[in-house]
Amino acid sequence: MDMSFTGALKRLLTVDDSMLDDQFTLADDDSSEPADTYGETPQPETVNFTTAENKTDTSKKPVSMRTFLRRATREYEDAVEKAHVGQDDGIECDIDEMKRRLERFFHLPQNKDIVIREFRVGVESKSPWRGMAVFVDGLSDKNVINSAILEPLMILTHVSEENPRRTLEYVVEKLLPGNQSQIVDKWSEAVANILTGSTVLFLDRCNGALVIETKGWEHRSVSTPQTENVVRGSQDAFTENFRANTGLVRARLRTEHLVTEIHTVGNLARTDVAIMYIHGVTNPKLVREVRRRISQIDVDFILDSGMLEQFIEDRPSMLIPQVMATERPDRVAASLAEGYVALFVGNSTYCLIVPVVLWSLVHSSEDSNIRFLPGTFMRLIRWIALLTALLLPGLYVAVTNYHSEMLPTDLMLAIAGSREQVPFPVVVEVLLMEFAIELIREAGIRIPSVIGPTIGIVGALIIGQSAVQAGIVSPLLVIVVATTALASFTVPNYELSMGIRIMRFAFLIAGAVLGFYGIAILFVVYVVRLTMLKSFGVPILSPIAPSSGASRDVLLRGPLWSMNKRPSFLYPLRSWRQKPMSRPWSAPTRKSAGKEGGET
Amino acid sequence: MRWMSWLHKWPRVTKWAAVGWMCGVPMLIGGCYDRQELEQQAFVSVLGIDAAPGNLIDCTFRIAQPINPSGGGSKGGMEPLAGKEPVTVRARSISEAMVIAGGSIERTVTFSHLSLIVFGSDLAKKGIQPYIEPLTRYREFRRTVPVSVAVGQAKDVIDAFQPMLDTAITRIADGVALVSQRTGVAPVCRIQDLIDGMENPHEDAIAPLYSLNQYVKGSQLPEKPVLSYEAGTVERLGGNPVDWMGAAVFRGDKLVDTLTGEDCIYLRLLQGGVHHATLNLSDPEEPSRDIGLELHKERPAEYRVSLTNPVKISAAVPMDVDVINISSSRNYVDPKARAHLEQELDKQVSTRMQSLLKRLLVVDQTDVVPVSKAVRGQFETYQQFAAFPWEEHLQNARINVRADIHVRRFGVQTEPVQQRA
Amino acid sequence: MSQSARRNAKVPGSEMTAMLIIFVSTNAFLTYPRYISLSGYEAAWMEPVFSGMLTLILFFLVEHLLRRYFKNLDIVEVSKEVFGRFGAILIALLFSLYFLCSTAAVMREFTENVVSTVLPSTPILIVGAVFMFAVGYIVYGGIEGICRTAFIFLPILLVGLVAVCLLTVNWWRPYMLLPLWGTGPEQVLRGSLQYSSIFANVLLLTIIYPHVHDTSKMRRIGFVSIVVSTLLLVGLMLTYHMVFPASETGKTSFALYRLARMIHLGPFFQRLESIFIFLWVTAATVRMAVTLWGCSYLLGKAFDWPTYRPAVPALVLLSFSLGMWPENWIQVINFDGTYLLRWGWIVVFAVPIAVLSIGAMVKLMRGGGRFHGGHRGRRRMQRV
Repeated sequence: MDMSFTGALKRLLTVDDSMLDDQFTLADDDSSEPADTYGETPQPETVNFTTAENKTDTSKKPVSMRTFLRRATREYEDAVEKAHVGQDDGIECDIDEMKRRLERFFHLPQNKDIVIREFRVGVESKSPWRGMAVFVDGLSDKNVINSAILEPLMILTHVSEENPRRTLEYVVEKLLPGNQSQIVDKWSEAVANILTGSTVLFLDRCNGALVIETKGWEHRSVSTPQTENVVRGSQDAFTENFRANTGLVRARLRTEHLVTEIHTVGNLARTDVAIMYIHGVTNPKLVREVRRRISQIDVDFILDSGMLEQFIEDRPSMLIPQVMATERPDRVAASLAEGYVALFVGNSTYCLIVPVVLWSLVHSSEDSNIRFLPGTFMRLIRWIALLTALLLPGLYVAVTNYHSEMLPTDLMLAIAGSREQVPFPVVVEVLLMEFAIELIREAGIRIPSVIGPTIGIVGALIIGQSAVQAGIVSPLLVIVVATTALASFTVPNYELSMGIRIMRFAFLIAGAVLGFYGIAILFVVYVVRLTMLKSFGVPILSPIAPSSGASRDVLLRGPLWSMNKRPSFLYPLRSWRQKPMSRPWSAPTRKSAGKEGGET
Repeated sequence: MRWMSWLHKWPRVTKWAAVGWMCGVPMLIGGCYDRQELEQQAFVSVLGIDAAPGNLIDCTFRIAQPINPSGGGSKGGMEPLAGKEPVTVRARSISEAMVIAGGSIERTVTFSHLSLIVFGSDLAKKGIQPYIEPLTRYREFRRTVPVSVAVGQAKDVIDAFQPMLDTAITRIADGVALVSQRTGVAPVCRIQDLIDGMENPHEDAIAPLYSLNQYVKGSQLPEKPVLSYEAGTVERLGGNPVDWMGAAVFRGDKLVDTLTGEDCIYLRLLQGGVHHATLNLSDPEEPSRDIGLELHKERPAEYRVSLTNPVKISAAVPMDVDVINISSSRNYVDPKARAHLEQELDKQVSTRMQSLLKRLLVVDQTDVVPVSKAVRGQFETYQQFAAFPWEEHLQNARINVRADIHVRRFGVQTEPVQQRA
Repeated sequence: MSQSARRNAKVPGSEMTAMLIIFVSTNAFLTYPRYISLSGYEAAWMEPVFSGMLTLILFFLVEHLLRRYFKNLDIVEVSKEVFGRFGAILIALLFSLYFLCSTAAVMREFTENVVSTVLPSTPILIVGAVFMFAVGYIVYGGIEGICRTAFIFLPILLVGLVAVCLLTVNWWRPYMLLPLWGTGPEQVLRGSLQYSSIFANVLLLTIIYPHVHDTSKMRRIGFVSIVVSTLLLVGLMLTYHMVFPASETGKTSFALYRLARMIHLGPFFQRLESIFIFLWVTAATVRMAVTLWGCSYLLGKAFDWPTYRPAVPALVLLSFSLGMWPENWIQVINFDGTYLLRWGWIVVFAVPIAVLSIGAMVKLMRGGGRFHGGHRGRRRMQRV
C-alpha cells in the first residue's frame, strides 16, 4: 500500500516520455537496418531499396517549380528502372543461373507465393534434363499444372539421347498437352506471365522459357448487376475477371471486326487495360486518342476503372462525368455497335465507355428493349427527375422566400402555418433535411448488411415523424426533400447522380440569395460551361448543341425502325446502321421510315 | 479553352479562394435583401376602401390566417391560429395605410395574395381614380384582383361577412366570382376592367354590388307580394349576412347607377359573358305563373351600329334554352305551341333588354357592354374613333334588341304533370 | 484545346438561326413594345411586319453582295479593302460603339426590370454585376459557345413567349385591335422604319458571315430567323393589344411582364410572372453576349489583335458602368428610344450596305478579281 502510493507519487513527479516513443516508424532512422535484410540469410541483391535513397529530397533549400518537377520525374524514373533491373536481359542457358535470377526477381525465399518446382524430364539417357516450373500459388490451376505439365514431362516422356531434340520447340510440339503455350526469351515477359497466373517452364540448356496458360484463381461468377437493374433486358453483369468480362461482351457481339487491344498500365504492378472497338465502324482517330491517353499514363499502380477514368477524362474539375461507367455487358455491346470505344481495366467490375454525351448518361440499357412510346415516357420521367433533383430545393427556397405570391393562397397559408413553430429560416431547414438524407444515403451503403434493415426504420422515424413533431422542420418541406431524394435516385448514372447531388446545393444557395433570378443566372452559367465541355473530342451536349442530324435517340426515344443512323458526333466509318426502310413489309412504318431517312 | 490557362498558373488555393470570394461576396454584402420568410408577412386577403372626412380614406384589411395543417394535438384540424378581426386604418392613400398598419400589425403587410378589393359606395360616387393609382403602380397589386362595390361602408360588409361553407377566407372571392360567372346575378370585375373603363374611349365598367342584408338578422320576412333582386333587400333568412347581387355601373371612375341581379343577368347576356344562367320569365298563357329556362351559351350577342344621326343600334341575342319549369302545367310540346312560346319569350326578353340598354346608354350614358366595339371597325384611325362624340350621340340613339330564343328541349320530362280530372 | 481553337470557329446553321431569333425576339421584353405601341396604337402589330419585310429584303441584298464579291470576309475586312486600314478602324469603332451602347442599354433595362419586379430591395449594382458576370462568361465561350447556348435556350424562349400569349386567352378582346390603322398608315410606316433597327440581322450577318458553317445556307438562316422572330413579335403585340387598350399599352416599359401578370386561369394558374424570369434571364444573357462579342470581336479585328478575349473583362466593366450611368429609369428609356431605336437603323442597315455597295463598285471597276485572296490566310489565324 505504502509502496504503491509512493510509486504513484513518483510517477506524478517524474517526467517519463517513453510513452511518446514510437514503437515503430517509417521515417528514416539511422539505427534501423536496411529494409531488405531479412533474418539470417541475406540475399545477394543488386536492387537495394533503401528508403534513404528513394525518398524525396528533404533539404529545405527552396527550388523552382520546374527544378522540383524535373527532379521528381528523375527520381521516379530511377526508382522504376531499379525495380525492374535485369528484366530486359535474355534468358540464360544454364538452369542454375535461371534459378538465381528468379530468386532475385521474386525475392525468394521470403516470398512464399512463388513456387519453383524443379524436376527432371524423362530422358532415356544418363545426362539428366533438368527443368523447373514456376508459378504463383493461388493464381494457377494446380490440376492443370499436375496433369498437363508435370505428369507428361516427368512420367510420360521418354526422350532418347539426341541433343538437338532438347529444344523448347520440340517440347511444345511433342510433349506438352497444354492448350495455350508460348515461347518467350526475355525475362520481363517470363516474369509478367508468372504474375498473371501462367506457369513458366524453364529447361536446362534452352535459352528461353515456355509459358503455359494455367490461370485459375478464385473469382466470383457472373451475377446480376448491382447498380444498373432493369426489368426488361439481360441480367448479367461484369465480374472481377478480366477475360470473363471481355468474353461477356464478345459473346453478345459476335463479329470478327470486334477488336480487343490489351495494354498494360502501371510501373510497379501491371494492370491490363483492354481497348475494345469495332474495326470499320469506330472512328480510328477516336481509338488513337484513347490509346494515346492510356499509353501516357505513368503511374505505379492502377487498381480499377474508376482510377483509370480519372487519368483519362478531359476536365476533372467538372461534376459531370466525362466517361460512362457501366457494369452491363449488353450496354457495352450496344455502345460498341454505335461506334463508341469500351475500356476494360484489370479486375474491375465496371467497363468504361468513351466518349460520352450528357444525354446518354440519362439513358438506361432497358430503353431500347421497350417499345418506343413507353421508352419515351420513361426517358421523360427521368429528365423530369433530373431537373427535380437539381432544382427543387432551390426553387422551394426561392418561392417561399422571394416569390410567395406564386403559391396558391391556400398552400401558402398552409406552409406559413406549418412554419409557425419552426425556429429556422427555410434555407437552414432545407440544409438540415438534405444533410439528413445524405446521411441516410451514405449510411445505407456503409452499414453492415446484417443491421441493414434498421437504417430504414431509423431514417423514416427521424425524418418522417420526429423532426416534424419536434417542430424542427415543416411537414411540407419533408415532402420536398423526399421527392428530391427519390428523383436523384432515378438518375441512372451513379456519377451523374452524385454530381447533381452536389450541384443542387449550389442552386439552393443561389435560390436563397437571389431567388429565381439567382437560379436562372446560375443555370445559364452552368449550361454555358457544359456547352464548352468535351469528352474525347466530342462536345458533351451534342447532338443537341452543336446540333447535328442524329437519330431521335437523345431526349426522347424514336421508334427503333426509324433510327437509321449512328450518332454523327462520333463520326463513325459506317454511318447507316440499318436500311432506310427497315420494315419494308409494313405499309405505315414504311412511310414514316422513308421520311425519316430522307431527313437525316 | 485557353482562357482557363491563366487560372492554372495560379496556385490552386488562390484559384479556389477567388471562386469562393466571387460566390461569397454577393451573399455577404448583397444577399437576402429581399428574402422574407412566409411567417414574417401578413397577407391581406380583402381590402376595403371607404370615404372618410377630408379626402381621407379608411382602409380595412382582412388578413389571411396561417393554417396549421398538421393539427398536431390540441389544436384541432384546419382552425386558424389566431383571431380574424379586420383592421381599419385611416390614411390619405392605400400606401400610407400600409405604413400606418405597420405600427400595429407585427408582420409586414403585403398585398401579394389580395383576393378582393371593396369600395364603399360613397367613395365610388365621388370617383375612385385618386385611390386606384397605387393599384396600378405598386407591384404587389396585380390587375387580376377582383373589385366590388359595397352599398354603404365597405368596412361593415367586410366585418359582417360570414361565409356559409368556406373556412379559408382566400377561397371566398374565387368562389363568389365563379358562382356569379355561372348564374349571372353579379358581374365579375377586376382592376383591369375598371381601368379599361376609365381609359379606353367609349367604354365603361360594372362591378358587383355587396350589401348587408336587412332581413337576415330578423326572424321573419316582410308581408309583401313582390320579389327583390337587389343587394341588401333580398328576402331571405339565415346564412351569410352579406348579399352579392346586381351591379354598380361606373361612368369613368364614378358610380352612377346600380342594377338589380335580374337586370344583371340580362346585361351579361347582352355582353355575351354568361355561360350557364337560369332565367325565370312569366308564362305567356298565364302571366302570374313563371317559366324556368336554363341557358346554354350559343354565340355572343351581335351588334350593328349605323353612325347616322340619330345613331341606330340593333342587337341580336341568340339563346339556346332548356325549359326546366312550367308552373302553369301547360303543354308546349306541340310545334305550334312551341313556336308561340318562343315568340312570346322573345318578346319578353327583347323588351327587358331593350329597356335595360336604353337605361344604360341613354339615361346613364355609360357603355358597359360595350356597344362601341361594333363601332371601332368603322373608323380608320384611333384619333377619329376617340374624337367621335359617342356619348352625345347615345342621347338620342334608336335602340332595338331582338332576342332569338330556341327552346331545344323540355327537360328530362317533356309533358307536364297533370292532375287527375 | 489550342489546336482546335486555332481554326476559325464554325457555327452550324440551326444554332446561328437560334441566335438570331433570340437576338431579335429579346426586344419583346425591352422597350420596343412601348415605342411601337406609342407610335402605332392598335396597328402596332403591323410595325414588326413591315420592319421584318424590309429587313428580309436588305438581308438578301447584303447576303448577295457578300457572296458575290466578298466571300468569307467580314465587314471590317471589306472596309479594309475599300477604305484602307484607317477607314476600317473607324467603321469597326462605330459598330463596336453601337454594340457597347446597346449592351449597356439592355443591361440597364433588364436589371431595372428585375429590380422593379422581383427583387425590389436588392441594390441594382448587385443584380447588374451578377448578370454581367454571366454575360462575360458566355462571351469567353466565343461565338460557338454563344450560339450553342442560344440553341439550348431557344425552346425556353419559344415556349415562354407562346405561353404568355396563350395563357392570357381569357383576357383577349379582339375588337380592341380596331380601328385597323391605329394612328394612321403614315404614322405606322414611319414607326416601322424608325424602329426597324431591332432587326440587327443585317449588321450581324456582315460580322458573322465568315463563321457560318455552310455559307450556302445563309439565305435560309436569314429567312427563317427573320420570319420566326417577326411572327413572335407580331404574336406578342397582337396579344398585348388584345389584352390592354391601346391607350394603355404605351404606358409601361415592360410589356411582357405586364402580360405575364395578367395570367389568371383559375385559383391555381395565376400570379405566375416570377416563372418568366427564367425566360428573361436566358434570352437577355444570350442577346447581350452577342452584342458584347460583336464589340470585342470588331475591336480585335480592327486593331489586328491576335485574340479578342482579353478585352472582354474590360468591355464588361465598361458596358456595366455605362449602363449604370443614367440617373433614373426614364433617362434610360429615353436614351434607348431616342438614340438606339430611332437612329439605330443608320448603323444597322445604312452603313453596312453603304460599305458593301461601295466595295462592290470598287471591285467592279477594278475588274472584280479575287485579289484579296492573299489576305485571307493571315486573317484565318485569328481565333474566334
